[in-house]
Amino acid sequence: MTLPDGPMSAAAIAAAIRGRKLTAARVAEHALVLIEARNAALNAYTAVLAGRALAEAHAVDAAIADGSDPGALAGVPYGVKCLFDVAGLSTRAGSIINRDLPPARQDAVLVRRMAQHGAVLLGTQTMDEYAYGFTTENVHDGTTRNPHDSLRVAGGSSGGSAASVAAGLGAVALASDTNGSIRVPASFCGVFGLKPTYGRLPRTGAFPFVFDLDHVGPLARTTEDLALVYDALQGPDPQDPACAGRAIEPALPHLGHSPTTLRIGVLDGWFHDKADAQARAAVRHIADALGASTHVSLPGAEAARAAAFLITAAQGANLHLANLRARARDFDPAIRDRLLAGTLLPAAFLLQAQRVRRWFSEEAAEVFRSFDILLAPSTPCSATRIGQDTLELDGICYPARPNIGLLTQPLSCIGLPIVSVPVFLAGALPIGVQIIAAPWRETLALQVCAHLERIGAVGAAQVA
Amino acid sequence: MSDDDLVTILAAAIALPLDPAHREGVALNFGRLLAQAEIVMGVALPPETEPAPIFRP
Repeated sequence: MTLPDGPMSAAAIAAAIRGRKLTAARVAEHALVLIEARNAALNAYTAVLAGRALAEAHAVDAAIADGSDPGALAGVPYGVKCLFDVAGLSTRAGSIINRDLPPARQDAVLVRRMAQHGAVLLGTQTMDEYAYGFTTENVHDGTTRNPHDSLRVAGGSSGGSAASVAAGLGAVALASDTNGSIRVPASFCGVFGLKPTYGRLPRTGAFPFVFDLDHVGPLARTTEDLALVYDALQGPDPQDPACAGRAIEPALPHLGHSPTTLRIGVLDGWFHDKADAQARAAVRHIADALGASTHVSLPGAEAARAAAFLITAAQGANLHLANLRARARDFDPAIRDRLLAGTLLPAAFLLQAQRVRRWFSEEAAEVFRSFDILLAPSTPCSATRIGQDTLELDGICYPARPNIGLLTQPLSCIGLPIVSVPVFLAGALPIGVQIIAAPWRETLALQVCAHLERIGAVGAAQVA
Repeated sequence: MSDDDLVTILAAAIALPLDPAHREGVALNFGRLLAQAEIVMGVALPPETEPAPIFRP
């Protein structure tokens, strides 16, 4: 079997390798050639690990030759946001400062799980410094360009991961989402992104940002790939105090069931007002495809977004306080001033923010008594221009970088599982729609995505 | 009191050195945080609403 011109799905790659129609080494070599050819323009990878990738690929091929099971992700090439520990590398998290850290002694837990299932790590990927941003315009590592329009950003903070998946420089990627950092770049780059329930996947070995809000999850070009990776990543880990320790609940076996009797609501209020015409049209497109016409309010979304904003500033600042005191000039200026301001927040605001978070979670639980799935745009607009300073929404001009997550932040604030699905409307850049479920119902959200993909309502487009 | 004055006082309270070149950006961002704090503080919560984080010893 020869490799097709366009990118193969992770599922197709693993099936071909397990069926001895392709070798993992051939797939890895091909992926490395593509990265060599295209990464200079995209700036999606910060480090390419050719030696490791080929060694992991040869190990998969050897396992198959021995008659061993190479795993469900046999030979699937992937990258990780550069905040995941990779043995032998300093975990940069998009910073200069972390380059002084000693090399990681072992891989992050999720990287180990990918390897256990046969996946092949290609390298680490560009991000906003310390994950504090939505554009992946990084003063140290440069800007990741959007594969659909090189004058636009890829979104952030997992911009390198989403851009790599969209451009076929890897079949899937691992990323993190504190306030929208999987869903925003998924939206801008036109790929699928899963932010699981807070506490579902362990973050052990992923450089932290905001302990109360940090999630990890996959990006992919199909729902099937998203579920394939998500299933491989599941399982408790006692080293992450926030990991809920739930039993593995495989999603992949359930993707074939088209949900027919779901109660689906379209979020209005904040989620309508803070979206432009394209984002609203994308939600209508998904709602029409699902036959959903009921609009529903989620009271307190603005306050939840404010709570997430404050908690992020304060916890992120506390995490970096020693370096802010000692070497503030070494931070990306766009991040530094936000973190310095966060060090100054009075306790009264933070405690109120944490109580608002609880209250909003209860408000959302009440809405989920009447609905199974909620819909909202992933971003207020499609990909912004590189260097764009402001966004105009609902007649108000906002600073762009802190506000691209206006529609993701209220939801990750309370840890809901969400898939961002890519919508391509005629003549427009891609934009994402959030498929939002109640806590621990990732499988339901993925079922809805798979259904949407089957009927042609969503899908990742091939990049020219 | 201006955001800049508040930044001066609060930075002193935690002995945070601020490079003069960074002050304008810090004050701008602190002002943005205060705007979000106003929204949060405007939510009337019942006394039984606990903070969200759960510590499991």
